[in-house]
Amino acid sequence: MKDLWNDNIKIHLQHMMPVFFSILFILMFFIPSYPFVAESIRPCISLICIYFWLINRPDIFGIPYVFMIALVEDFASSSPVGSDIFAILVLYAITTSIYKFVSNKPFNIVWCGFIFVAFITLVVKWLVVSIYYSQFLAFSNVFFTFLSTIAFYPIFSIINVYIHVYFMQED
Amino acid sequence: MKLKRRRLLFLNFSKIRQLTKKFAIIILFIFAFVFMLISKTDTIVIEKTSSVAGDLLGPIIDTLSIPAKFIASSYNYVSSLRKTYEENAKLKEENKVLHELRNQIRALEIENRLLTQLLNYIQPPQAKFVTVRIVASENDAFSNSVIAYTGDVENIKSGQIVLTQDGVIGRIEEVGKNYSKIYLITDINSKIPVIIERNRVRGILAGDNTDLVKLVFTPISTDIRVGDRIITSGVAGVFPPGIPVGKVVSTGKNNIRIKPYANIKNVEYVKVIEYVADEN
Repeated sequence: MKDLWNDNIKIHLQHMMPVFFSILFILMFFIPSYPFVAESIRPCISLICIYFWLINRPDIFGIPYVFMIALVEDFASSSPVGSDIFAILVLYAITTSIYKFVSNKPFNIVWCGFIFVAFITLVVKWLVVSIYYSQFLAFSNVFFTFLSTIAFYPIFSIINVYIHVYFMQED
Repeated sequence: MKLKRRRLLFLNFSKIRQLTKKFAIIILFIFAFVFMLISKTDTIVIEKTSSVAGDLLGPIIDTLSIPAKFIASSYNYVSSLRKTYEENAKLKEENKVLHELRNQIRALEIENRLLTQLLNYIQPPQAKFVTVRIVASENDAFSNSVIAYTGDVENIKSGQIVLTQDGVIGRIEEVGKNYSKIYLITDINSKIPVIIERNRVRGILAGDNTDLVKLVFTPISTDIRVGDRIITSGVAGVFPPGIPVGKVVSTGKNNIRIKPYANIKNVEYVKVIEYVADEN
């Protein structure tokens, strides 16, 4: 009985790993950068992590976890409250609808899928925030964020693969 | 009978669960939309929730930044060693100029004091300041802000001006128990009353999440030149007057752009100014 209880806790903890690490990565990018790091390079880590886990572990990474990550990002950032949740829900909706085209496919196809999803998500966020402020934000900045986000995807994919291998192996 | 009722209840419950699952995304979209509506109306609920969230997330980011700080200090140490000789020579030159300036300032101070007495002029209140450390920063397309540790500091209030040795960088927006959020002057929410130092024309410095800040509400006929210094005007009594903000870098039609003096993207320590205009 006790073993079963322990196993259940272990499985639950393993299932929480994607959320835990996603939040950790998001918060890491709030660390003030120092002279040797360009401050302008600020990818949307939440998009990378959520897309990765939705494609690779949709069985454990459901909408409550997606919402939890979005909520943390929303309150950590200074953009209008709700805008990050809105954008991430768009990402969730698109990713789940293209899931069958990108799951279990070579990395290039998965990456192309991410480029498409990230672009739509950032454009939606740009529109939502622009409507909120009744003023269009500079699209060039959004495009730069998009470029840095897609450039960071392979790096964080590798990190997430390691997380999957080392922390969720028995799952 | 009892079993039948239980089964019926279970069926109803699982139906509700299935329906909720099906419509979860729609419900959450509505939730996000409601959140934005509440945030737009600037209710105290959102402000308080944000400051609580800042107090919760601040220590985590602060802890996460320890290795980064160590790397940064090592990097700074090595690079400063390399530049020591050059800097020493530069500082000696600067020191000569400063000595001359000090004598001039002394003379001007005395003259100013005498003239002030003569005109019976009431001096504006002196601003006090405290130094705080930046623990988190966010500079992207959607927002430009930093979080500072203000736990040991009393009298931190929303609206207070924040600056570095070079000039204004922003103002306090949310005050938590230990951490406060600062909106940078480049943020879309930032509006600062300023004047052009050369011709004393007033305007408002408005951020739009880009690196260069916009100068708005200046008269159309105003003569604004590239290189003009922009300083705080002290209008509304929130900010002390005369603090440098930036310089004009472009003067297009309805698009006057200012480059902030302070390097707002790489700040470690900042000064928070406590200033009350109606104190005297």
